[in-house]
Amino acid sequence: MDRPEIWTKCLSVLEEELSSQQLNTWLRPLRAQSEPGFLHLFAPNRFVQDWVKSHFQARISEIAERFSGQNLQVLVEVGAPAAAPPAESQTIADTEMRTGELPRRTVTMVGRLNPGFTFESHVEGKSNQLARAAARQVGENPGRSYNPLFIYGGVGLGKTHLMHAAGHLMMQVNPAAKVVYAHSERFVADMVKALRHNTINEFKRYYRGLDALLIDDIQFFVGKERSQEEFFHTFNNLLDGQRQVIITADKFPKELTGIEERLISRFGSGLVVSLEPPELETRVAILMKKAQQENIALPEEVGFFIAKRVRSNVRELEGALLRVLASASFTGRPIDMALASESLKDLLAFQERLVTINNIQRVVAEYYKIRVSDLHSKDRSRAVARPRQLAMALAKELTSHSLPEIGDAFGGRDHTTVLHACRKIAELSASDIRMKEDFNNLMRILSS
Amino acid sequence: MNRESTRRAQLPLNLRLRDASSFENYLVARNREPVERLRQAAHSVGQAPHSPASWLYLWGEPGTGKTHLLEAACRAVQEQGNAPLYVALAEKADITIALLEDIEQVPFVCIDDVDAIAGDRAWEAALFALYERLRAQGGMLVVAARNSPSAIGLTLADLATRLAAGLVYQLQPLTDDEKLAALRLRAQRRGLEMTQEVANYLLTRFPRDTHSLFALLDRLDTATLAAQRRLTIPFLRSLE
Repeated sequence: MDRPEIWTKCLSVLEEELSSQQLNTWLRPLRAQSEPGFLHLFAPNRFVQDWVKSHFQARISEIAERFSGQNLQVLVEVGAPAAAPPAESQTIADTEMRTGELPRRTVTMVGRLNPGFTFESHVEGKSNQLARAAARQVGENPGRSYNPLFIYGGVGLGKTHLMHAAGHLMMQVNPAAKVVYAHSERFVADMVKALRHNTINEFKRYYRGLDALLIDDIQFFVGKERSQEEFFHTFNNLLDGQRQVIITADKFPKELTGIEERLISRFGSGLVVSLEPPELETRVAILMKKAQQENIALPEEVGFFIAKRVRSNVRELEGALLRVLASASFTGRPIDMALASESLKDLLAFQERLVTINNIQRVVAEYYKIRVSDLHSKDRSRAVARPRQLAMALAKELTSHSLPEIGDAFGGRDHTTVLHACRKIAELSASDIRMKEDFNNLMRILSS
Repeated sequence: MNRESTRRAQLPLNLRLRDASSFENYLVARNREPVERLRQAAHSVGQAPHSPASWLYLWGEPGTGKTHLLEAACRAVQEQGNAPLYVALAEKADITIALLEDIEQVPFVCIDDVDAIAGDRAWEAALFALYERLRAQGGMLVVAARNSPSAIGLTLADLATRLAAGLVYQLQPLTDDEKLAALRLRAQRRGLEMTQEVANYLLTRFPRDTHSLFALLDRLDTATLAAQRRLTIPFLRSLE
């Protein structure tokens, strides 16, 4: 379905009247549908709806009426046009959300298993051996070996991966099994919605009817008592029926402050395993495997190069590889050290600290063993004039100050003096190796 | 009536040619790869689902055109009949986290100035939730910040590492020559003729960051229109 022409026209008028920010935040996210006498505008949520109603609705009505030449009622609603374009309804959850004006989202948050997270795609190393073996056990014998299985460790170490891998294994053994992955944040948000929309019984029935529940990042329950209460009952219900529960968290159960004692003690009643940051060899193996999955030959030295620089977690490690591969495919360059080093700079570099003219003067004075006041002075002896010119050239290179401002900062000099200094330094750098070295050294000191 | 008074009598109309941010009026310079990735992402909305592996995180110092690019992308998405959302977190005083709720059905979400909410647990958690939901829905997320994901001071490590898991690009600032070109490109798109000499003049006498230069262009556009004069060095001098 194309956007109604009337809305396109309205947008083009509003584009002239409003700031880009207003347009992009409040009006572009609206989807429109027209019918005789009405223009329906659908906002993604209530907040946008309220804002549009109070700030823009009247003006939109005026413009719409002018274009249509008739009385046109503009209605701002939450939701989506009745017949949304099929390309956008890619998931079951999405389709469910289109059925009513207010999306009923009792069960929409539950994710299916991520097909990429299997034992085959998981790289074993010292840091994850035990957790991997336990997840495999649980996958093969759900509900009977370790229940619950509690996996904890820092961010991006593969907790979610192992959890999904166990789920896949359960599905292989019993394809009809209802295995559901839910992130804790989602569990909480959807429970709140279920309470609000009076569908809490449906919510409970859904969770309690599962064969296995994989609940991720339980630390998001901290301080949410009502959710903990609901989860506690769901959890007991599943456990009593010998259905598998796998939980992940960023901490050991007893360290999860803000979570009820009774829950914590139940968490520890099965098996608790930890994930450590992978050591270098494992990190390299992860990169090689990932590249292999993408059918890309990653030179080992590049693998080591990345793995040495990204140590803390697998998520960033894979992000780094992704970026290198993306650049290689975009530029057609081979995957080598130069490309890797350029790409990693984007991912890891801290922005150069803000360079100020004062800072430049201080560093240059120190470098040439003169005083900062010399740089402001009228002294035209070479021992002072050269560093002064160099400092001016650096100020032009490293700051956004105008040339008159730079001149001012050097004892009230004219902007043409600055211009002359820049030219002089460029000229000298080309002919005099020492000058070039000084310039490069100072650039390095100032921008590192 | 002499010419001088005629000029003074002319007031600029409030209707000027607006040059809204687009890919066409962004000088790509050294940022070809991130800009092209963003353009592709904007043009592929509604085709195949996106995954975090193609999500973008663009960072760079002020004046590298982050907001411009995000706005350009939203515009491109809208022109194809889709409904994008742009959220400027630097303006968080005006909005609440409710703005980020239930927006997973928005196929293209741009979050600008993410560093503005670093350290704010509620906002960080809301962004995390948005990230996860958008991922489940196959939406596209573009984030912009002044610094790389690990350096903006997010306290929620789950969020920081997720932002680092997509394609992270640093936007490179323009060199002086490129700023000249960008200035002339903008002027030209507004129908304002700017010679190389005038551009040079501006660049040697005024702050050279792109925000100031483009703001200056705005003022000059109005001034030339009001005075019915061409943009020349004598005219610029007459303004000083």
